[in-house]
Formats: sequence, C-alpha cells, structure tokens
Amino acid sequence: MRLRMVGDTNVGRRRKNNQDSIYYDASQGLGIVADGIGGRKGGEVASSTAVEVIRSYFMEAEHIAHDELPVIIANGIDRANKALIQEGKKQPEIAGMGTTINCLAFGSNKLHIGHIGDSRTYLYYDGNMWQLTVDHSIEVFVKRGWIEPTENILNAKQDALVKAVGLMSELDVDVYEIPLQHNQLFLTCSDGLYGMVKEKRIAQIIAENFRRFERIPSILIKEANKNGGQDNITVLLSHIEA
Amino acid sequence: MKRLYLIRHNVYTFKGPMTLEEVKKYSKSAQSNAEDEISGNCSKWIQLGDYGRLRKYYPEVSKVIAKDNGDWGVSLASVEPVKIAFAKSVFSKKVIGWSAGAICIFLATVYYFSENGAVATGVLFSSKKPTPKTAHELLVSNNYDDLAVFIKRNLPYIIKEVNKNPKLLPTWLPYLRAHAFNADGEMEKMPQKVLNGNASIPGVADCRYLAWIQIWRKQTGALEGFIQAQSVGNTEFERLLAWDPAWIARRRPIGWMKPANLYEGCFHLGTRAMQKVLPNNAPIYAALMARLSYMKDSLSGKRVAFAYDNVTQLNLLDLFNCYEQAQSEANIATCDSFQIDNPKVVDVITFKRAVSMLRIKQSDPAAIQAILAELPLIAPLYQFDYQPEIFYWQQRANQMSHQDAAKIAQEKYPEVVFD
Repeated sequence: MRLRMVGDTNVGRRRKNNQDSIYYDASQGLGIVADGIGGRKGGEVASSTAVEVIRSYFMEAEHIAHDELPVIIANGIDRANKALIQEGKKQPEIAGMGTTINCLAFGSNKLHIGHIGDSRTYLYYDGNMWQLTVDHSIEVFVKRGWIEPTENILNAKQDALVKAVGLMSELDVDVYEIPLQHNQLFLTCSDGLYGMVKEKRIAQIIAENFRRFERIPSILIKEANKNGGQDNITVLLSHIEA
Repeated sequence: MKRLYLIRHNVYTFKGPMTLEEVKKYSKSAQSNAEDEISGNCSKWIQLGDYGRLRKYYPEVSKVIAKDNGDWGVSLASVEPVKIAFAKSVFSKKVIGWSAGAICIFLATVYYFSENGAVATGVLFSSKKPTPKTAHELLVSNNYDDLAVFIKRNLPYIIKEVNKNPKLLPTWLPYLRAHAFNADGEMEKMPQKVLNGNASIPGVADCRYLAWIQIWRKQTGALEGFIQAQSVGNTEFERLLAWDPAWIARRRPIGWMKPANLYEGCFHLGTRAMQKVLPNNAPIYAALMARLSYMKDSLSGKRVAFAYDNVTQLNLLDLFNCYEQAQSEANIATCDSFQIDNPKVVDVITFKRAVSMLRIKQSDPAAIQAILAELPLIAPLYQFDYQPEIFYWQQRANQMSHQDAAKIAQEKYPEVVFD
C-alpha cells in the first residue's frame, strides 16, 4: 500500500490571522492538523508549537514498532500539552492558549489517530463518508452521556470544548484505530471546513475530484470561503493507493 | 455507489466499511456488542442495541439484526407466553400470573436440586462445567457481584450450551436477567429481545438504563406540569410514574426471579436513571422521589401507610399514592376531594380511582360490573392491577365481540394470550 498526502490551510474570509497549523509527510506516515484557541497570538502560538513538538517527538523516536504507535501519539500530544502550559507561564500574555489536535500516524496495516478537541478526521471510501473522531464539545459529551447536564453545563456555549491541548496539566488523549484498505481516503480538517460545508457536499466534492486528488484541498477551501469562510480552514487528505 | 456501513467498536476502534450482509455477519459474531455503534454514509452513529433509533435511522440494519435475535436456537414464543383462557363468564376466569411465576422458579429450582449438593466455595472459578445452581445460589443470597463474575466468565459456554439445547434457556434465563437488570438492563452478546422476553411495555420502547437517561434528559421539561396535574402527555416517564406497584408485583411471567418481571426491572432502571440525571436540589426532585420510593417499598413488600387523616395539599403523584393505598370508600372520598381541572388528567385519575374501587369491591360482582361499565370504552392509558385488568377486558369482550376485545388486549399485552 502506498500513502499519498496533500494538505492546505487558509485564513478564511473573516479572520485576520490563521490560527490553524498543518504538517504532513507521507514518507513518515505522519499528518497533524491543529486549530489554535485563546486570542490572536495565543491561538497561533498554540497550534504551531503543538504541531512542532509532536513532529519532533516522532522524529526523535527511531524505529517505532507498529504496536507502539498509540503510545507514541499519546506521549507526543502530552508533551505538546506540557510545552504549551510551560510557554504560557513564560509569556503571561498568551497564558490560557490551547489547541485542538488530530494526529494521524499510519502503520503498515492500521491508522492511529490521536484526537483532542473538535478538529475532525473522516473516512471516505467508495462514495461513503463517516466521521471517525468524536468532537470534545459540551453538546456531544452531553448527548453521549459522558458529562452530567448540570445547569452550568446546559447554560454554557454548546460548541465549547471540553478538552484542548494546553489547558490542563493532565490530558486524556483519544487514540482511534482503523484497519487500512486500498482506496481509503482520510480527510482531516479544522471546524472552518465542516462548519461551512455540509458533510454530504464534502463527500460529493471528493467523489467528483477523486482522480484529481491533489486539487481537493483547494476546492474544499474554496467552497468553505464561498459559504462565508467564518473561520480558518485547514484540510489534510491521506489516500491509501491501490 | 454501494451503501456501506462502518461499525464503531468500544468507541475508539472501527470495523469495516462493510455491506449490510457483512453487518449481519458481524452482529452475530462474538466480538459484537450492544454498545457498538453503526453509521451509514454521512449519517448518525447509532448503537446496535438501541433498537428504537436503529429502526428509525437504519431500518434495513434493524431488520437483519432483529432476525439475528432469534438465533439463540430457541423460539422465544416457547419460552414466555402466559396463556389465559378467555371464557364466557366474566367471573370464572383464572388469573395465572402467580402460577407462571411459580413455574419459573420451579424450573430453576428443579435444576438446582437435581444437581444434588451444595455449592462449593470458589465455584466461580471452578474447572467444572458451570451450572444454573451456582447462579441460583448467588442470586438467592443477593450476591450480585459474584453473580456478575460468574455470568461474564461463563457466558460463551452458556450460549454454546443453549444453542445446542434450547430447552436449557429457561434454566439460565432468570440469572442472566438478574445480572443484566442489576446492571444497565442489557448484556453483551445477549440480544435484547431474549433478555426482555416477549413482554413489551406499552409506551416504553426501551427499558435500558441508557435509554432512561435519555428519556429523563429529554422529557424533564414536561415533568413539572405533569406533577402539578396541569398537563398529561404520553411520555415514558408518565407511564412509569403511573404504574401501580401492586400491578407490577402481580405480574410474574416465566423466566424472571429478581427482578420479578420486566416491568420491575424497567422501573428500577428508570428510577436509577432519574436519580442520575436530575439534580437532587431540583424543585420536582422531592415529589418524584416520594412517589418512586413509595413504589419501590411497595414492590419490595413493605406496607406503606398513607396519611388519609392529615391530607392538606396533593400533587398528582401524591394523588396516585392516595388512590393506590385506599382501603375504603372513605379513603377514596378523601382522594376525590382534590379537584383536577385538566380533562386529560381527569381521565388518568378516573382509571386510578376505578382500580381502587375494583380492589375494595372485589367480592361484589355487581359493583365491579357497575364500575367497569362507567369506564370509557377505550384502551386505558395506564395499567390496571392484574385481576381488574382481566375483568376489564372481559367486560369489553361482553360489550364488543370477543374477537375485537381479544385483539385489543393482545396488542396491549402481547405476553398474555387470549383464546
């Protein structure tokens, strides 16, 4: 199986700066998307720092055995978490910054996804698309019965994050696992995409442009901007070639 | 484009994508469980065990999974039905709820004593073949923790044995149910239909703990109006709160011990979910707990006294208690002194009152006929006590044709067979 990756990020039409960060390297089997939160500067620093820390952690770890990948992902995100908290202590003006993370690590027959926050990874296969990651938002957690719907919770903004990298010293990272098959395509994106473009439309765009794989991120970003571009938009596509 | 499904197993791992045929195969495999979620193209994730929502969002999946429920190698109908003769005379009917319960306990105990010997210490981890007698011993001593260990450990063996010999199912069923309903009302590898049996609860589609959590969350807004007798709908929590505990206690279908039946299991899970969801300082919490505690006490055989001489103000739940515990017409008159304005609530109270009167007048056939004759000729929203319920349907049978009454009764009480 051969992995192809392509990605892009865009500031959108309403924001002055891009607080999303992206990294991908097909030869390494690693892809990361982060969406920063916590003020203009804080958000940018948070997402770029987290991506860099995780990338470096993977580079440091030589000869990773496939069954170690979930641990490496969780440790990498944990390290990013500590780095952000440390950075916030040094620079009070960006204290409280945080970021979402979707970290994809491809093994020989499985994909592992480290996930914190509300950036998402979808699987597209044979015209069908599924959201794999579960958003760490109040609304989703209440619906799934993972947090008590107390008055405070119900009065809070329902899309507010329950978890983000950099906000708490202890971080419980979700690590998903999915078996790989030829022709699977994984779409990882920030909320600037799925907040502006409906999932069915995203699936339709992928289907229509499947043969022009490298163009899909820019087409999706264009569509998000056409629909308002309220937030920064980041798209990463990973394709398991036949 | 092929319609494909993805299964989310234990939240973080995935199986598939797969076709419907492969979903069917997966649902029968040992690795599938009721908490697995399924999703189609750009659609919601729904738990395989959540039949209500599965039917709504993925009817094609619910069909193939429902078919699999019978794959325990046994016709469910042969396990559960309580057959009631629907004879011509109104007062010659025999209610066999208790005898059905006795059969259940008999089946389990025969197996127990046929094993001839006490349960050895450490039997949970014995290398001997597991038998229902161990489960029986643990259940009668209320040792639910060890029962859970025993069932979990031996479930693959039990399934294998039951598939080999379906007649063994009734000997295991009371213990499997006791274990499941002491937890969340569901059990990995055990189809919900087998676990619940043929009994269905009118108006309550899903009795699992997780389903009740959703019910209380979604319907909390309607609670206050109901309790204050201002409104009545057809919500699950209203059904639960309006159940007559005496009615629940007298239904003892085959295959249940603790809880005594699906209704009791459902009641306990609904109560536990309510306590989990509603903050205990909520204004309606005390009223709800008063009703639920009374029901719980009644189910466990405790006699609960209602203070008829000291009644000042009653909410609708108090009024249920008032009628259900009435021992005399004077008691009923006390309950009657509270005026209800909302006509729908009046209907509910009318039935509650009628059930009380039927109990008080149980030795007076003419009075019973008169009470039933006053009731509207509609299927009651809420449950009667067992015997008046049969009287009611017999009365209806006399007023309509036998066939029509039996048909309605059959729909309302699928576990009861009316000849």
